[in-house]
Amino acid sequence: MSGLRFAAWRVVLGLITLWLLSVIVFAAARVLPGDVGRAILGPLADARAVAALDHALGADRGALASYIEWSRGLLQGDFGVSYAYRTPVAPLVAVALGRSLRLACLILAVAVPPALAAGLTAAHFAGGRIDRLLTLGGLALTVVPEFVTAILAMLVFGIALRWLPISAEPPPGAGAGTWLRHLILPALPGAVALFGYLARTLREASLAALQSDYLRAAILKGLAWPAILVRHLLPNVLPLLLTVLAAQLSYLLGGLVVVETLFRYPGIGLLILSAGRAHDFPLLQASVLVLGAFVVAASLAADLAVRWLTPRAA
Amino acid sequence: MRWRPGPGLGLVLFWLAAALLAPAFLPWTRLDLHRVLAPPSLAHWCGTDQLGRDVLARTLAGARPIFETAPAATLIALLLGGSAGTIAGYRGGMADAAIGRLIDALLALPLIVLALFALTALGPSQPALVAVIGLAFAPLIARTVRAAVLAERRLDYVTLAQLRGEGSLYILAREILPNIAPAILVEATVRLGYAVFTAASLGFLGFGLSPPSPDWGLTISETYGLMAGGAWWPATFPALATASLVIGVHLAAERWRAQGRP
Amino acid sequence: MSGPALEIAGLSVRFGRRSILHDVSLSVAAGGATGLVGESGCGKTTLALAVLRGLPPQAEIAGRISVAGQRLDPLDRAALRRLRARQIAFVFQDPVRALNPALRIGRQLAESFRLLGQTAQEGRRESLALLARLRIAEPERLLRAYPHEISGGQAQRVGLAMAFAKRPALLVLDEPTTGLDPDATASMLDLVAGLRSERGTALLLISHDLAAVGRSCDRIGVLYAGTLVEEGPASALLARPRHPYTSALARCAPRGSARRRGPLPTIEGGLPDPAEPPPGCRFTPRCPFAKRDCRAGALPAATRLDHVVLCNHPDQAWPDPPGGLPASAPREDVVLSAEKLSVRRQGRVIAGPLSLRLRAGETLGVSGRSGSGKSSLLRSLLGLLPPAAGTLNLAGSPLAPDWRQRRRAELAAIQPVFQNPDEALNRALTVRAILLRPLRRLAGLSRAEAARRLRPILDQVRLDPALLDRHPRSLSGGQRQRVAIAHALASGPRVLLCDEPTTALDLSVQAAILNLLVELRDRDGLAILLVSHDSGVIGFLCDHEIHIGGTQ
Repeated sequence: MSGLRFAAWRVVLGLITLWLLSVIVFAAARVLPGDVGRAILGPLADARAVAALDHALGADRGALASYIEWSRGLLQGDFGVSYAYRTPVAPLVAVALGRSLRLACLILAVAVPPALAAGLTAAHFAGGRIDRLLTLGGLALTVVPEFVTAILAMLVFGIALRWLPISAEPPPGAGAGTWLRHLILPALPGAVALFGYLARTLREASLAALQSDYLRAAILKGLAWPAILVRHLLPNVLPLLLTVLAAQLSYLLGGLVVVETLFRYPGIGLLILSAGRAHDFPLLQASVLVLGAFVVAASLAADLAVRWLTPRAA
Repeated sequence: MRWRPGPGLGLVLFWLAAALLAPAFLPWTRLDLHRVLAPPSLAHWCGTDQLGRDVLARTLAGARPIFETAPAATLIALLLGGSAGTIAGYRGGMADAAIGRLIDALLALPLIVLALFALTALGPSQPALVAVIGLAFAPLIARTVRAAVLAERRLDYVTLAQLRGEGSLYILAREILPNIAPAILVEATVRLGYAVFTAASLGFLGFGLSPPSPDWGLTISETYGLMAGGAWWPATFPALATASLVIGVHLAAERWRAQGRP
Repeated sequence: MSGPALEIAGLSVRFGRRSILHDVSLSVAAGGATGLVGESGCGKTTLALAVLRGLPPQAEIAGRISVAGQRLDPLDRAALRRLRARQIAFVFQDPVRALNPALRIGRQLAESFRLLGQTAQEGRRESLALLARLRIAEPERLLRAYPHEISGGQAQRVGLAMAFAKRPALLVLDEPTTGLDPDATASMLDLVAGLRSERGTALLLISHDLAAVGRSCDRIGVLYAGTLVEEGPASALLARPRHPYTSALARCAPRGSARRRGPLPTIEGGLPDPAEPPPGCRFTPRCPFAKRDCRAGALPAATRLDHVVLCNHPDQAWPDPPGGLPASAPREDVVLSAEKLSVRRQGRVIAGPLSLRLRAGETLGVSGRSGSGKSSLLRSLLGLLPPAAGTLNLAGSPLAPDWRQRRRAELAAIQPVFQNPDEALNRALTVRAILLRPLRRLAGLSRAEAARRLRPILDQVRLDPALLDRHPRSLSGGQRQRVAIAHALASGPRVLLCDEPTTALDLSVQAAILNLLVELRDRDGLAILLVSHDSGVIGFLCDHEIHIGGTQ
C-alpha cells in the first residue's frame, strides 16, 4: 500500500472509531438513572418546574432525535450548552483539557528521557544485576496505584521535608516558576508509573534489536558503539516508543482522575467525573469525545510516523 | 526447569490468608473514642485511626473486599475479551474489522473514566464494581487473544485440521487453545494485578464500598486529609498494603512468564 | 602478504557443559579458499563467529586464532574494530535479516566506505561501481530501497558489496547457497571468485553442500559434532573421501533416478548430546565400521601428505542401504487430474492455464523459481486456493474446487505434506493424539480400531513406537517430518501432495525421507506430486516434471 493510501485508510478507520465512540457515549449517558431537571434543581423542587426545565433543555426528547440534533451541531462546531453551568460547553472543555495537557507534557518530559536511558542500559547488561534491578523496580513502579505514590510523595516532599507545595493550584498572579513548582508533585505519580512501564518496554525492544542479525552485522563491520547506538539501534526502537506513548495518551490525559482529586487539579478527568455525577450530558459527551479525538489522533500520528521511520511492509 | 514459588506468590498468599481470616480481626476494629489517632505503639503496632480503630486489624481485614472483586472481574474480562478476541482472530474479515473498531473505541476512553461512568449509572455496589472492571479490561484481553489466535491460525496444522473436515469449534478448543492457553493465563494474571489496582482506585474515588468497610481505597480517601496534621499512619498502611498486593500479583505473573509455563 | 590469511590452532569452544567445538585446527592460505562442510548443529557458525571474535561473552574459548598474522585474543576494542573494518568480512546466512530494516540500502553501504575514511560522494560512486560489478540491474534504485523491498538474491549481493568495500584479507561466507538453485549458486560463486582474485582475498566458505564447496575451494574441512574429522585438498577429498562421515555425506546427495539406481545411502541416528560427547571418535555411535579402539581415548590423526583424517579405520566406502526396491512401473489409472487450471493468488492469476495427470505409483515433479506459483498450484489442488478457471478430477469423478464442498472420502484421498513439520504438527499434542485424529475423523475408525492402526502406520514411516507419547518439539527434524507423513498416510490417501518436504532438513536426513517417499510410491502405489526447487530431488524421485514459469 502506498503511503498516501495508507494515511487515508487510517484516517477513515479513526473517524469510524470516533463515530462509534460518540454512539457509545451518547447511549451510555441516556442510561444514567435519574432526571436531569431534578439533578439540577434538587430534591425539593416542584415537579412542574422540573418538567419545564427538562423541556427547556430538550432532555425529554427521544434518544434518536437528540442524537441526530447533537451530531448535526457537532459537525458545525457547536458542542452545545452545559446543563449545569448554562454556558457553552466548548470553553469549559478547552480549559480543562489545557490543564491536563500541561500535566501530561510535564510527565512526558520527566519520564521519557530517563526511561530511554534505563531501557538501553538494562538491555546492554541483560541478565546482570543492573538489569534485574531495573526490570523488577520498573515493574513495581508501574503497577503501584497513583494514590499510593501520590500519598507517599506528599508525605515525604510536601509534609516531612516541606520542599514542594501539595496543592496544584498556584496562588493567583504567580509566575511560571511557581506554577511549575506546584505541578511537580502532581506529575510525580504519573511520571513514576510511565517511567517504569516505558523502561521495561524499551528494554525488551532494545534487547530484541541487540540480538538481531543486523545489529551483529553492524558490530562485525567494525562500527564504533556510538554509531551503532544512534544509527542502528535507535531507529528500530523509536517506532515502538512512539506507538507506546500514543497508546498511553488516554491514560495521561484522562486517567489521572485520582491525582486530579488528590491535588485538587481540575483537569479533563475531573470534568468528566463531575459532569457524569451532575447528569450534564452536553458537557459529558463533549469532554469524552474531545478526549477520544485526541487519543485517536495521537495513535494515527504515531502510526504514520512509524511507517515513515520504518517503512516495512504493513 | 521446575516451577518454584517466588516472593510474589508469597505476598499474594499472605493477603489471601488475611482475606479469609478477616472476621477474626473484628474485635480490634471496634470504635474506641478514648484513643483516637494514637501513633504506632506496642499496643497498636500501626496506630489507631480517627475513630480509635486499630489500623493493623483494619488493614488486614481490608484484603477481603479486594479478593471478592478483583478475581471475579478478571474472570469476566477473560470470558468477554477471550471470546471477542477469538472470533476476531479466527474469523477475520468483517467480524475482525467490527470487533477491532469496538476495541479501539473502548480503549480511547481512559479506563478509570469508563469505570466511573458506568458506576454512576449502576450505583456503587460490589457486583457493579466487578462488572465494570471486567468490561473495562475485556478489550485489552481481546487484543492479546486476537493476536495469539491469528498467529496460530496461519500455521499449517490448522490447515491440516481444516482439511480433515474438523469444525471451527473443535479446531479452536482442541487444536489452538492448548497452544495459546499459557500466554492467555499470564495475561490474565497481569490483568488481575491491574484489577486490584483499579478496584482500589475506584474505592478511593468513592465508587466502591461505603463506610465502615475496611476497603483500602475507601480508608485512604477517608484518612489522607489527616496527613497534613501529622497523622500519617491511617492512610499510609493501607496504601502500602495495596502496593504490596499489586506488586505481588505482578511478580508472580512475571516469574510465571519467565519460566515459560504454568 | 606473508603467512596464511587465517590460522586456527587447537580451537575449543564450550558453553557451560556443552562442548560445541573441540580441538579444531584449520588454516586458509593468503588468497586461498577453504570450505568448511557439516550439517546443522556441527559447530560451523560457532567457528565462523569465533574467527570474528563475535561469540557471546559466556562462551569459554581455548586455542589460538590469527587473521592476517594478527592474534585475535590479545586485541583491545579499538584494534579489534580496526581489524573488522579492514581485514575480515562476513556475509550472514540470511542476508535480508543482516540488513537494518529501518535504513535505506544506500546508507548502509555508505557506512562501510566511511569506515575506510572515504567521503559520502566517493562512497556512493564506489557503491554503484561495486553493485554493477555484482550484476545488479539498477544499482541506483537499489540504493534507494529499504531491505524489505529487495529480494534475497539482491540482499546477498549487497552483503557481498559491503564485504568487498574494503580489501579484506579474509572473507567468511556462511551458507551462501541455501535456497538457491544450482544456476544461481554457480553464478554467485563465480562473482565472488572474480572479486577475490582482484583483491587477493582469502575465503572461508561454510556450507552443508559438499559439491558446491568442491567447486570453489582448494581445500575442504569436514566438521562433525564439533570436531574436524577430515581436512585436505578439495580434489583429493572429493575423489576419495577417507573418513566414513565424509563418504556418507558425499553419497547421500540425491543423484540420478531412484528407479534406476535404487535408494540413497543414509546415516542412521543423530548428533550426540554436546553435554556428553562420546569418548574417542564422536562419530562412533553412527559408524558401521567402529571398533573398540574407536571408542577409547584420543584418536591418532592418520595423515597422508597434507590430507588429515581423524579415524582409526579410514578409507571405507559408506554402504548402500539394505534391500533394493521391487522395481514397479507406474500403473495406468489416473488418480488426480487437472484441466486448464489457472492458479489465482490474492486476486491475480499467477500460473497456468496448465493441465496435469497423476497416476497411481507415479511421481510428478513441479519445479520453478521461488514466487512462480508452484506452492499455490499445490494449494489449488487441495482446495485451499480456489482456481480462477479449470476443472479437477479425482479418480474419474469431478472434484469441487473448494475444500469445504468436498466429501469426507475426497478429503481423505488427497493429503498434503508441508515443508516445515514444526508448523504442520500441533506442538501442544503428543504424536499419538496427532495420528489418532485423522484415523478417527477421515478413516472413520472406532477408538479401538484407530489405536490398533497406529502401529502399522508407524512401521510404514519407520518410526519407533516409543515416540508416540512424545511432543513434536522433543523429536529431531527427520522424525518430525516422518510424523507429518504418517499423519497424511493415516486417512488412507491415494495422492500425496508434497511441498518442498525436505528443504528444511539436512542432507543425510533428506536422503532417508526421499527413500521413504520412493517406498510409499513403489510399494504402496501412492501417487505423489512433489514441489521442489532442487533439481537433484526432482530427478531422483520424479517420473515426469512440469516447470512453472515466473510471474508475468
